[in-house]
Amino acid sequence: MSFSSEKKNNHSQNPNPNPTSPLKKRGTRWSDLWLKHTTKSKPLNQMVVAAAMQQLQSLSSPRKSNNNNVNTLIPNFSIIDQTLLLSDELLLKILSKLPDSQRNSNSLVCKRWLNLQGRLVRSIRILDWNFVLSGRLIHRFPNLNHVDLIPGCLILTQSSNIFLSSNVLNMHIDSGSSPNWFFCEENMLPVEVIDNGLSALANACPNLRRVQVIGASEMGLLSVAEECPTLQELELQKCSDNVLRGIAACGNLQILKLVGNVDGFYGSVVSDIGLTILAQGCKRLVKLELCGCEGSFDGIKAIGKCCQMLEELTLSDHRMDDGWLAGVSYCENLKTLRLTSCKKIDLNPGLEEYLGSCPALERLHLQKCQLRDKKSVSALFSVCRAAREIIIQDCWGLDNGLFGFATVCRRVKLLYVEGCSLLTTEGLESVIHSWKELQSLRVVSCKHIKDSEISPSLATLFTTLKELKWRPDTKSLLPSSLRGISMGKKGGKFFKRT
Amino acid sequence: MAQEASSSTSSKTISLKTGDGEIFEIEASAAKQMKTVQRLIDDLGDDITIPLHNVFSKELPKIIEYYKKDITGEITKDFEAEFVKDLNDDEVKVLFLAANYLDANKLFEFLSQNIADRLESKSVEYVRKYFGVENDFTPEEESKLREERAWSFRGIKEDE
Repeated sequence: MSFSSEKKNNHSQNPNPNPTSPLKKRGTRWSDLWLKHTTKSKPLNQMVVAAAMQQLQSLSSPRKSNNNNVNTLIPNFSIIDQTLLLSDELLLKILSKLPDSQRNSNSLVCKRWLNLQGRLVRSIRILDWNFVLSGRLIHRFPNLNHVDLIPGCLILTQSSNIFLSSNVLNMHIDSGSSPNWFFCEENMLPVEVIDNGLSALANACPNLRRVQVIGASEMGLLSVAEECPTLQELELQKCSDNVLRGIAACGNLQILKLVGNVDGFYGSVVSDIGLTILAQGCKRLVKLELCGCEGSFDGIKAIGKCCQMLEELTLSDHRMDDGWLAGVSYCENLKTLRLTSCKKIDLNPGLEEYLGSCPALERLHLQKCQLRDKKSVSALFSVCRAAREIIIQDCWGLDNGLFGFATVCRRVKLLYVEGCSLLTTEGLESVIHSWKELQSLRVVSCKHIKDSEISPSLATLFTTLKELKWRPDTKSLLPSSLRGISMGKKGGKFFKRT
Repeated sequence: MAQEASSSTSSKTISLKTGDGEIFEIEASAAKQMKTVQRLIDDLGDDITIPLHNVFSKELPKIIEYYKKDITGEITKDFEAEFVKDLNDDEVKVLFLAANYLDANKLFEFLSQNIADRLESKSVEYVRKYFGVENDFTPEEESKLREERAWSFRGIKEDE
């Protein structure tokens, strides 16, 4: 039995060009190698590969010199589809190393590449709901983890040439829209359609990690909760108490963003009822963001008591009833409290002795808030007295007197003040001196803080700091975040090819 | 017998025989990096010439050169750039398949990145030619795909 015919025999038994032991004595070794290299290949590929390899073998045996290029010795080699010699696994390896910008052209190479490239896509933003309902989404991209359905839920009319943007939502409206300032409600798909799409998606992608959707009902969410046990992150716009009944079934949820009211877009109520349902259902919550939500002390307390792992709480444009701040102290593991775009904090927070404080708090972050009210600011600093970092950006009404309440926070290591125009050097100094552990100070764009007013003791304090960024007279040309408008990004975002 | 060999692998050389009958020597420690070869050594012992059906004398020297550098820990970006500089597209492909056959992970990763680099930003036609792939889309299918891409979905960047 000549060596070459033995090779041929082996190859007709094992059409895969990958390694096999020529001495097929030990069954385990053979099957190990076989399994390793063929589990991912399609059967059709193996047959074609067998044909290709036979061709290769027959052409390569009379090889004498090793100077010739492989191609010239096997003249037909180039017309065989060489990617067939690559199993799916190998081709995926190459495809995964190509940049995302190339995904589109890779998908157009041939059907097999379309399929493989689609398998690599993990996150997607839907613009057309039919793409979901018709099943094309799932057919093309079976391995999705993250799906943003929000743009797809909004109807794009023929003449939608006005771009309306807020910090949570962008949409196009047309000039014929009626001016009742609930643009979203008119331009959204019906609830049943959205729920159907959610169901279809959940059924097909059981590994979903993150979903963003607007206008769903609890039925749609229940189907997601049932089919996608690994769902970790959810953004629900136009959320209401009813919808939250569906959320409560997502037991593994860790990151949640609920948007109830967005001025000019839609109005929808999330109240204590919803918050309590949420608290009892999603005990694993780590990050919670409530935008435009109502509620009160009871709702926040329920969340604090049930969601023991909650580390980050963000309230944006809240519509909570007064007295809610005291509920925050029930969040025993809360590390970050963030308030953004709040027109008021808490006008009647109750008596100091009942406020409590968050024992584990590390960061207090205020952004674009109205801080004029004395009771609010005093209560806020009192609840956050354990904070290590205080960040105040673009807030109105913070004067020396109000900032003075921050002396109750004894453990502050970092202070970042930006755009607080009422604060003076004197006010800043009196607070900083009481903070013995201060290590890092950043002062940007605070026009009443003047270099000329730095006292010698303040200057001495500066020398003890690990980090100092002192730019009170910088005018930042752009507010810290202007999302949705893409200004200041040097055209890169406008003209980028996606 | 395999156990005896492993205790003195550092100075041993292994003989490899290519599919076209040529024999090359490599250090045993380099052979360890090629898992297929190592498996064959474990099966057959390291005194026999290991046959490699699907690797030929054109590419094996290059592979050996790579792993010679690897065991001395001298693989740098410059070396890698030099390594692939003179290789044409077909040679890279053949090396890539050989590295996969030999289960030589480091070389395999490096070459797959190199092929990806060669394909980066190239047109669909170029990629098809490179691999010899035929376009099996009908014009209708292709235009449907382009339409979907324009109107039905977008990718999401990491930070969004």
